[in-house]
Amino acid sequence: MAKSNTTSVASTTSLFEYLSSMIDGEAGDFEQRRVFDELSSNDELLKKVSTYRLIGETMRSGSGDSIIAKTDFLAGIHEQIQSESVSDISLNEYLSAALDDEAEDFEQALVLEELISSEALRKKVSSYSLIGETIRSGTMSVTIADSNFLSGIQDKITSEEEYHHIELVEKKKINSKTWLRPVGGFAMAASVAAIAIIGFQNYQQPASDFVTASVKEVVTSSTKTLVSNETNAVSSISEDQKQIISDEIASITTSYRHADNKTRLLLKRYVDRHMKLTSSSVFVPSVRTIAYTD
Amino acid sequence: MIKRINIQQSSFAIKLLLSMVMLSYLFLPSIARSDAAAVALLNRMNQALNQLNYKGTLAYLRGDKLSTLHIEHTVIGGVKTERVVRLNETGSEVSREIHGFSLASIPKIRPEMEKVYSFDIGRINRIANIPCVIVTARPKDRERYLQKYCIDTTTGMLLDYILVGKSHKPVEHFMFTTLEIRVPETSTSMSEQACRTQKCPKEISRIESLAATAIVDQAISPKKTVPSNIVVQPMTESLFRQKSTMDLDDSWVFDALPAGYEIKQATHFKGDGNSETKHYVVSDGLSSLSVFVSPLTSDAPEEAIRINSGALNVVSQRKAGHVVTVVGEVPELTLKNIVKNLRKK
Repeated sequence: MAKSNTTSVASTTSLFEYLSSMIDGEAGDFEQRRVFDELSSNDELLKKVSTYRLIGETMRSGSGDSIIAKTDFLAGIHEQIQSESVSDISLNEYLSAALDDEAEDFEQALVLEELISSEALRKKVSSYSLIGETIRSGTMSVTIADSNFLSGIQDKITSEEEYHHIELVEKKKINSKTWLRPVGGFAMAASVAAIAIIGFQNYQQPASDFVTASVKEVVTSSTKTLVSNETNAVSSISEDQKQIISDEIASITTSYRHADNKTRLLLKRYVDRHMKLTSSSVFVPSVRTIAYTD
Repeated sequence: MIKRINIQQSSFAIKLLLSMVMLSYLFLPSIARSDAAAVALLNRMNQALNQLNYKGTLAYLRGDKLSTLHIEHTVIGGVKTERVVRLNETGSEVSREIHGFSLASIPKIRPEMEKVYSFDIGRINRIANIPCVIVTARPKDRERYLQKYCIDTTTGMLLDYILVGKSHKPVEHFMFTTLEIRVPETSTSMSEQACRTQKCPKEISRIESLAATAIVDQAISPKKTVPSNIVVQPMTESLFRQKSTMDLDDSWVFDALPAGYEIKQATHFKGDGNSETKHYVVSDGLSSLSVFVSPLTSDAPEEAIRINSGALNVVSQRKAGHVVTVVGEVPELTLKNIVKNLRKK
C-alpha cells in the first residue's frame, strides 16, 4: 500500500516535472508526449498549463500587451503592468533578467540600487521569486482566484507534504548518467598522463629560457657581489685582471643601442664574411647581404 | 573514509598508468617516423641545393618589407656561383662565387641536432605552381628560430623557407614565385656514366639536361627525377676546423654555449691596419653564427651595438681590449649570451 502511494506521488511528480520542462522548453520527445496525453484527458491540467504560461509570459514580457487575462489575478497583474511607466518597464525587464540569471553587471547594479530604495520593488521581487519557485515546484493548486494570490501560493507551499519526489527525480537523473563516472575518471587520468608525458619531454630538453633566465639572475647577482667584493678587497691586482673585472661588470650591465648607418657600414664586413662562409640561409645568402645594406 | 580515498587513489593511479601506456603507443612511434622522413627530405634538399642549377624570381619578406629578387645559382665544373638582382627599389646586385653553404659544410642532419630540434613532416602545399611538402625544424628552446621548409619532392629543391621567432611571427620569408631548374652538366654526365655501367636505378634511364623544360611545373615527370644516387662532389674545401674544447686562440674561452651549438674555427683574416681578426663559427647544424674577435681600433664603437635585419642579428661590444662582434641568423638573445660567455683567460 505504501509502495502504491509512493508510486502515485512519483508519477504525479514526474508529470509536473515534465510539464515544467515543457514550459521551459527543455522537455524531450517522451516527456512532451506524456504531457500531451495527459492534457488531452485532463481539463485541470490544461487550465494549469494555461495559467503557468500566462504567468511566465507576464513576467518575461513586462508590457503585458499580448496577455489575454482569464483570471482575476492575471487581470490584476496586467493592469498593474500597464500602469507602470517606461522606466519601470525597463526596470521590470532588468529584474526579470536578474531573476533568470541573465542580467549584465549594469542591469544587476541598477536593480540592486532600486531594490535598496524601493519597498514596492522589493515586494515585486518577492512575488516574482515566489511565482517562479511555485511554478518550478509543480505542486501549486490550480485555482488562484483572489487578488492576494501570493498568500495563497505561500499557503500552498507550506501545505506541501513532502519533497520526496525531488529526491527521486534527482536520483534518477544521477543514475541515468552513471557511465559518465568511469569515463570521466579515465578522461581525467588521460589528461594527467598527457601532461606528464609533455612535462617529461620538456624535462629532457635543454633548460628553457625562463629557467635559464632565473639561474642567470641568481648567477648575475652573485657575480655582482663577488666582483664588488673583489674590487673592494683586492687593490693590488694586475692591469689585466682589472680589465677582466671591468669587462665582467660591463657585460652584466651592458645596454645595447641600435647602430647608426655609419656603424652598420663599419660592421658590414663581418656580415659579408659571415654570409660568405656560414650563412644558414640554405639558399641565396646574398639576399641577406642586399637586405642588410638597405 | 581514508580507506575509500586510498581505493579511489589507487584506481586513479591505475587509470593514469594505462593512459600513459596507451598515449605512448599512440604518439611515440609516429613522432619517430615523422622525424626520419623529415630528416631524409632535408638531407635531400641539401643535396639538391648544392647540385642543381636554378634560376627564378624570389619574393623575400623581412618584417613588413617585401622585395622581389632574381636568383641564379649555377654549378659549373664543381664551382658554384650565385647571382642575385633586386628587382624593386634600389635594384642592387650581388654576384659572386660561393665558397660555402652552411649546409654544404654540414652535409647531413646529425643525430645531435635532434636534441635541439624536432623535425616534423607536414601537409602538401603548392609554391610557384610546384607541389611541395612542408618540413618543420622546431627548436626545443629559444636559442634558435623555428625553420619551416617547403620542399619539392621531385627535385628536392627548396621552394619556400620561413624563419619564425619566439613570438610565433615570421621574421623572414623566402618564396619562389617562378623557378627553373636544370641538372648541372657534371651531375648529368655522372648519371650517364653510372647508367652505362648499369648502376643507375631502372626508373632513371637517363637524365637529360632539363634546360628544355623552361619553367618547372607539374610537367616534370617522375621519370626525370633528379637521381638520389648522385655522387656528392666536395664543392668546398674544408673551411672549418672542429674545436674540441671551449678554448679558442689567444686565451679566449667560452664559459658556456647554448645547447647543441659547436665551435668551429674558420680561417682568420686581416682586417683594418693589417691586424688579424679571428673568426669562429658556432653552429648547431641548421643555425650558424660567426664570432669575430678583432683588436681594438679607434673607429670601433664605444658602446655596445645591436643590429637587426630580418632573421639576421649583429651584436658588437668591446671586451678585454678587443672588439667582439657576433653575427648570425639566430635570436638576438642568443648572440648576447654568446658575447657574455666569451672571456679572455
